[in-house]
Amino acid sequence: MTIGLLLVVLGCVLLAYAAAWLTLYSRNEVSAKEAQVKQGEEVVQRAVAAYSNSVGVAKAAEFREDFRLLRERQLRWSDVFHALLDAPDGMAVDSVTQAGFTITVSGRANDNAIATDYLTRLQNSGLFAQSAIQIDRDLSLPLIQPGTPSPTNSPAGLPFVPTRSPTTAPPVALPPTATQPPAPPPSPTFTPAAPALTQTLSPTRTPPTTITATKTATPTPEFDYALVVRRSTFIDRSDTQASRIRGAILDENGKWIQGVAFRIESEGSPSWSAGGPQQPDKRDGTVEFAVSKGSFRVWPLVEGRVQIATSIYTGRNEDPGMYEWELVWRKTHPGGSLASGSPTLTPTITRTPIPSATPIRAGRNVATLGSASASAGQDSAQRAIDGNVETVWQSGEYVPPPQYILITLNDVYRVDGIEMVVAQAPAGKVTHEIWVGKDAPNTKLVEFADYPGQDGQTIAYPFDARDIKYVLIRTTRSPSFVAWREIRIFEQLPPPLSTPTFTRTPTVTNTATPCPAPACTPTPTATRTRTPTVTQSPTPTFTSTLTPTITQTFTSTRTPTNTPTVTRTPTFTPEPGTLPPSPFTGVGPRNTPPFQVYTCPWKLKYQAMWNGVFKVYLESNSQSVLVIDRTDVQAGVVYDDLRYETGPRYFRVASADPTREWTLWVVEISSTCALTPVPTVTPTPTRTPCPDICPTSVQFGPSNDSAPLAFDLPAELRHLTRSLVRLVGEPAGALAAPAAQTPPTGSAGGPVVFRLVLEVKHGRGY
Amino acid sequence: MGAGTEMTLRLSRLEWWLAAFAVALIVVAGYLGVTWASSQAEKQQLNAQLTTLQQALGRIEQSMAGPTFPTAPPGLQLVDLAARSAREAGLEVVTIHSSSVSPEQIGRNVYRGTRVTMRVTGASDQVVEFFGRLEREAVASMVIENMELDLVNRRWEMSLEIFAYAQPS
Repeated sequence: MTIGLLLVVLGCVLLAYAAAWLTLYSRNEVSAKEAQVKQGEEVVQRAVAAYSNSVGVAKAAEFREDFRLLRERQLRWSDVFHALLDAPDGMAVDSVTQAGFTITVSGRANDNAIATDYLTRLQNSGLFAQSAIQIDRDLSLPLIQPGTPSPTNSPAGLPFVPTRSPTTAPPVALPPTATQPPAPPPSPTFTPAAPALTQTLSPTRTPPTTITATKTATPTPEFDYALVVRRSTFIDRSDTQASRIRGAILDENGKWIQGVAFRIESEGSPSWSAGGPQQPDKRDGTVEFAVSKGSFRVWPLVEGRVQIATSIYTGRNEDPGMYEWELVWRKTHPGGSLASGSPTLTPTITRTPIPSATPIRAGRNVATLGSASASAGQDSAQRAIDGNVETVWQSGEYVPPPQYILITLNDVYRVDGIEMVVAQAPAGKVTHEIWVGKDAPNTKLVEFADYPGQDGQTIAYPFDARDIKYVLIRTTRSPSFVAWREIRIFEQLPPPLSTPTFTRTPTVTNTATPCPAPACTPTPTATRTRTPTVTQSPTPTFTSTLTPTITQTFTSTRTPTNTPTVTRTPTFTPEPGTLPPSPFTGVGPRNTPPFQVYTCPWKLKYQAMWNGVFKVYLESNSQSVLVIDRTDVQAGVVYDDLRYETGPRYFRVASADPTREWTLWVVEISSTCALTPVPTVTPTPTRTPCPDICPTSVQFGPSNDSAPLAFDLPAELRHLTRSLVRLVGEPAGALAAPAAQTPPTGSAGGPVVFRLVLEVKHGRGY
Repeated sequence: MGAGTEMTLRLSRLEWWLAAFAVALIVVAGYLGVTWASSQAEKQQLNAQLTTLQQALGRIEQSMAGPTFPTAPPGLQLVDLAARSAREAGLEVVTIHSSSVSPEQIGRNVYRGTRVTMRVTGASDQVVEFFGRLEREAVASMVIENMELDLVNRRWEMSLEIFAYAQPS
């Protein structure tokens, strides 16, 4: 019995021990788990805090979304160039340029078929979303021998050695191909030449003219670089989300300016911006941006007042098809010099550090009414706005960028331009930012990044007028200490009641006045009794202290000579201005190039090639007037209307059939402005103050394809554009077939040059 | 041993103690068993909590660690990558220059950037190889832009810019 009980007790002890062990083990496990949970809670709390404090949940999401956009730009260039540079026999690629998603390939081939086969092969590679080709026959090209050494298969690290002796395959001389810069337009369309006169001129000799430069005001062009071509082309493709905006810039002689970078910004949300290539297309200076659907603003990054191309509308996501744009700027006048045919004037110039192509804006410089402070060199800050370019604000030699100067105006002004005269030694690239605001300088107006700065240079930035009290100019990069000679802030002029005119002493004699008949009735040796002294109201003050840019409104391409002449009797004397270089033609909503209209009533005619609604606004920076509001426009019917608006304007076609053409043109100035001159003989010949385009009876008819349009593209670019428009989006077969049937140039065989424009499919990251 | 025979269990004092001890041990073991069961339940609850925490942490890490811009610009890493890729591909580097660029807007934000501008010459297969190497070892936020290739004396002269972006400071 005792033994049995002992065994039972032993079993109970074992049971209790086991239970105790399990309990203790579980306790330990629970303690460990509790510690883990506590630690996990702390980690999660820290992670949440870090997540919230660093960038924020929304910001992190934005970064990821932005990064997704960036990854679309991460293209497999190795595959792309492998396809591009692997040219078949009988063809050679001469150059390849890339901007964004767009690649332009220039080359030559022995015949049209080889070039189109090359394009077909590229299309079938699956690397490109769109493609287009322009082929021009060039019989002067030598044939490319099959097996012509191509720059491939060089041993790594060693210079390229041709794989075949040049004696068996002589080097192909580079021909004048499409890569050559296109010739400038045959005649500048910016200032159309006046028609030749047919009247018999009077042999009356006139004594030499005394030129008296009693100039009081000079209306300057509104922009140094005016947007002269703004053309959209509708691409009716539903399977593309990419469009192109091409920009180019011409000098005052109509020649391409190369090496100019462009800037593009989106209008609206989401905001996006990009800079043009550092080295634009070598062929014609054209810079191309591949963009999505939306609205954009584009401008060239040049010194001077640049007209910004706004409302560059490429389409809506909901709508099929897109608009492609061609934008061409043109320098409106030679910098710092008088227009052709102008008398030699000697304006008083206080100082010209470096003659800048940037004229002073017409408004009052309100910077001098304000006060200045700076991040360093506070003592001299006021010198930047004292109106004297000889005095300088500088941050100090031992205070490197970034530095800023803040100008606080004495009131809120409506400002439309800022100019800065640089003080810098040595010259070099700088980066300036302009911040403005009404209550604080809290809006970044513009940034001049990597701008080539030099002492005395004037940096001007015109912009749409806005209310401003604070202007902060921040320099983040400079090889020199930060300094400014002068900063000018220009108040916007009120809309003029009359166009600015000036007192003019008859000065120039020319052989013929640029007015065509029948508006100007020739009267031998007659002059006006009316003194064309018009007092403007209000009087814009053109206070040019820096740039002696005096541009006459009455420009003429003729050379004034003291020869027997006829002074015409004008049927009226319009106020200075220019007739719109009409006709304006277009398709769908768009803006016309800017123009200046007269104070006199002028007649607007318009025609639409559809039945329906046609709304057109006449706009300036500050005004928008609905001038055509027809809901019952009939196709082909010409309507007219008398308008009274003045000043710099452009038409904005707001409602129009997006697929059919419309035409606007201004035909005449109202006869209510006509004067009744009494011609009298005078020894001093007088040129009738006709503006660039003669005001009366210059009939502009609707456009046709054969007639060159004012503000049109040069022929080369136009041809290219049309070719591209025709070919863009065509599938390979469809492209090749018509090319074989009715090839544009190379149908008969023989060497061709080609230019290929490809749009690479978006990338997915490296 | 007939009917009505009573069985008496006579335990000695030691046996009584042994019996009582056994009963006490059984009670203790029962208590410990209940305690163990309770611990097991608590452990399961803690496990669930831990799982939840791990999942939450994973979600946070996933959201924070998604592909995004680096926090700092690559600096010399980019120019080194460009130069090395060109060299290993057999291209001749004519010029190479690295600089920081002004912040650029990408999407909805403005990002700091580094730019490498370079000019190289070589054959077409070397050009292709160069891009291949760049792509294989690319900096996460790297893009290649503004390329120009011209065939000069049967060699490609290529200029290009390589940008890499970083989060705003």
